[in-house]
Amino acid sequence: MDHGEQEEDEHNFSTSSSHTHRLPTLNGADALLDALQEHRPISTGLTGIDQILSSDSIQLDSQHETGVQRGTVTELYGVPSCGKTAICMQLTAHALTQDSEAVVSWIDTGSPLPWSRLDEMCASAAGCDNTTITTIAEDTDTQSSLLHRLNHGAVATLPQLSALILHPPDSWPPAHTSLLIIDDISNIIMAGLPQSSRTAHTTGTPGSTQKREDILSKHNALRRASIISSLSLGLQRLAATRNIAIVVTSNTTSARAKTSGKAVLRSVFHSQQWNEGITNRIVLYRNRWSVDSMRFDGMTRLEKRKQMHKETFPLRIAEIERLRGQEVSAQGVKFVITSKGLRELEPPGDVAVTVVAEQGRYCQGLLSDNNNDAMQNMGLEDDLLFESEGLEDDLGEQEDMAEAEEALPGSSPPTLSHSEERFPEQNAEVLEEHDEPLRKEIADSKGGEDDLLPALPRQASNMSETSKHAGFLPSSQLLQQKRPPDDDGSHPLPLTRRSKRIAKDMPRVNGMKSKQQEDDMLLGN
Amino acid sequence: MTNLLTVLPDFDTQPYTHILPSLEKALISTADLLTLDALDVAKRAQVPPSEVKKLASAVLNGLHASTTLRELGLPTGNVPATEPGQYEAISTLDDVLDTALGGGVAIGKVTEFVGESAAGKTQFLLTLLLSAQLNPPHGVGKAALYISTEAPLQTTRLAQILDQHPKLAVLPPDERPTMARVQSAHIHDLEAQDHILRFQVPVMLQRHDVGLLVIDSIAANYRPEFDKGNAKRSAAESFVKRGNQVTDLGTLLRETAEKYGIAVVVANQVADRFAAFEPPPSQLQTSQQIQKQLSVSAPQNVPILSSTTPQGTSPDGAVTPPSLSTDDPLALDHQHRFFTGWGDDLQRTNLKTPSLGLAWTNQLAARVALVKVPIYEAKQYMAGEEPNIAGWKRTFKVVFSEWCPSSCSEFEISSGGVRSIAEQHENGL
Repeated sequence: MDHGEQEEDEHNFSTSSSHTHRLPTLNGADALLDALQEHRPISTGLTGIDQILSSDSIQLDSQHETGVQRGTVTELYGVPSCGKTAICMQLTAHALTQDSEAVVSWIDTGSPLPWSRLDEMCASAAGCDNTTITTIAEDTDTQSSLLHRLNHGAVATLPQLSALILHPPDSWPPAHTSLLIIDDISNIIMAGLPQSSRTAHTTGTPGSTQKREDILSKHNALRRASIISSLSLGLQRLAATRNIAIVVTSNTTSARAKTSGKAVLRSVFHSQQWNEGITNRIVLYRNRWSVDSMRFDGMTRLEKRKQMHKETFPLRIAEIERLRGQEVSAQGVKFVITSKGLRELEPPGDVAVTVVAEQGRYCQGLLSDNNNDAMQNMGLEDDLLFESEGLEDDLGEQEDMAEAEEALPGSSPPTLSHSEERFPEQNAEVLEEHDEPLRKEIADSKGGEDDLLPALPRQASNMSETSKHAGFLPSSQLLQQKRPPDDDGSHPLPLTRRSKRIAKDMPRVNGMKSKQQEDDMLLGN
Repeated sequence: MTNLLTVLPDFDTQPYTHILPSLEKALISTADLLTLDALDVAKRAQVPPSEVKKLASAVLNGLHASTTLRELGLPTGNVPATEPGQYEAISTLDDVLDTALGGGVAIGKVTEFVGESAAGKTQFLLTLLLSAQLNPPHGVGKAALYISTEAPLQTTRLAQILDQHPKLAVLPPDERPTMARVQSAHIHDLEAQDHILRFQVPVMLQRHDVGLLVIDSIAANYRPEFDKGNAKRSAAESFVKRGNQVTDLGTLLRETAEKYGIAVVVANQVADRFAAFEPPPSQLQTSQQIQKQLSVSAPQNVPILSSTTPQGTSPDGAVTPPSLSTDDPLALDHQHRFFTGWGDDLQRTNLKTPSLGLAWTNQLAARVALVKVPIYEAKQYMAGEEPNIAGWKRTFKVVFSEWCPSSCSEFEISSGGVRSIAEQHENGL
């Protein structure tokens, strides 16, 4: 009604901007777009990890972004040089390229930021970044100017860190921060926590009575728990209120597994107080895979294949241990670190079978089956050639032997250029022939392999095709969860309550590890 | 507030002198002030809450001011030329090894040289004592401080290196390093170690303009401490206490390195470790077995399971029973090979673990392992005859480092110090 429109009707919500005393509303579509814009996850560079981390988020079909989610706190832990800083740098590169306004804040507690490597990672992230839907001014944004939006800070003591996290100053975190990295957090907290032995030592009172020591140690224990708890919750609060993804790195300590009695590595901070504020936890470690690779010194292909030559090489693995506040176990994601960033690998076992089946590359991702992205990520594995004793005839042509030589990791990261070139057409072939992803169990043909083998989830339906192809790798431990056969790649890997650690390594037995053996590896938590 | 002045040296405590003693008595630390509510603190220390609030906000302001937070708002759009985090380094006086270390031992960081006895640790340390005195880029032009815990500084060897090292011998007299600029001290036990490192070393650093602190070796003083049976504590407590002490030591060294801008180089000892039972040797023979080790390959692949516990070992003290390879990739036994320097090249015997364990490893910025492998004479041996050791193959292995990638290089020890073998080949030798 004209009458209604001209008068100020106090009882109706007015849409004109002058009536600011009314509650401004946002329609659903705008709100969704807003949320999607503001809550874009940041990729770690490892799709296996990304998908698990984002498995609960709703994404528009056109925008399949996965990764560390805003508002969460993720802890990365591992022994020195396991790749924690590398993942942080990859996250930074992706965060900076994903959004032209995003700011990344990096808090340094003594471990230096390798600037030139970060620069390289940003450059390659900007160069190949094609999954975002927002416009990134890539042509005008040079990689160095990407680093303009990196806010770097250095703290040296725990009080400084607490002051930043619990009572952040006005200027920090800067506006538009999407990612905050603290590298590393464990040393600085451990150095600042009150310890009984420390207090006794510094007070230097040799005549301390036992009673005073006991009081002190109890007091210190309480204080430790309280400080850790408030720091952890402070991180959570910071992440949630500022809509930032927080990633912290920490070191390992050893603990005795309850059942086997062996010492295993775990995070320095594993207490309940710390866990309250940590949404996700990822462990990074290295392991060795045995590969029957060829010696490339002028031998013919047949000779190479016949040669029983084993080489093992170290790969890095990232495994999620805690997801959305719950302890979980999920299969580890194998990767290598190259100068351009992280490269996810597929288990070498799959290579063998695919090669046998159709002389091409295998093509599956660890989680998603028809995921083309996973294929692009496969740089190295096709170069890892496998030989099987009785299958020389079936092995067909392997033109990638030369590349495999390059790809054998010594101490330098492998070059992936050759394999990348060769991938596209051959992967396409493989995809055509197999609608469903191939998940095979690698049967042991030789027995007595070296210890470390990847575990592969089993796909029940395709066993017949591939079971006849005995790869030479020993049978791998199967993951507990089974994928449904109609998986279209969007289902997250079902996660089990973390009650045991899944063995990635293969004992020298054929077939699957028995349930009994798995139970033996129960880790109390 | 025992650590208030260490955290904030410039903090003005004048306005708060009336409450500080009560806070101290109630064991309120700076961290407590930040994490606890002001009312709780006031109740505990029996002081007025308003005063606590004022103190807390003053401390907070001080802490914020002391933290450096900067944007890289560079107008030219370039990454800064001297990257924040770029290091000066002290050279090892050998080009190949310097390249492996990314320039040398970094200033402001703690680097560890670990190896068996007679692996060459001391040779490297002595060389560093001299090269620190050189002007950049090889050194920092400052004096060096050598703290020994076992044997005193080997002055004769130091003089020999000074005399005969190819790079030092060619220097003109005014540029040559001198023994006079090498200060040395000796520490006998753990208590003295802590006191000296905490209080006396800073004084020495400033008095003599020291650029390099060498501690040889760091683990020596820990062993007797925990060998004595202390009835008051259980083994677990002792272990935790040692873990804390090691962490404190590491923190102290890192802070010293950072604060005074010096390089801290530490030598560490090793203990034996035994690999878990592995498949029979025939399956594991790889080309990595050195060809010269002909007669020893078979017997040496069978691990020796003895009941003696390695001395000074990390948490998994006792030898674990043989298990079918590794069930758990995160088992410490298995993961040792990736951060100790021994075991990542399929070596099955003579595995070593650096002392002081994982707690100490976490404190380091870089670890260099000096691996010594015997080279046996290749000849026909009679049954039961011990192989003759013809020589040693020494490897300089950068196990992990914050500033350079891992690598392996061979080296040898000569009268003039250490030199890499590759370099020797280049010289046509």
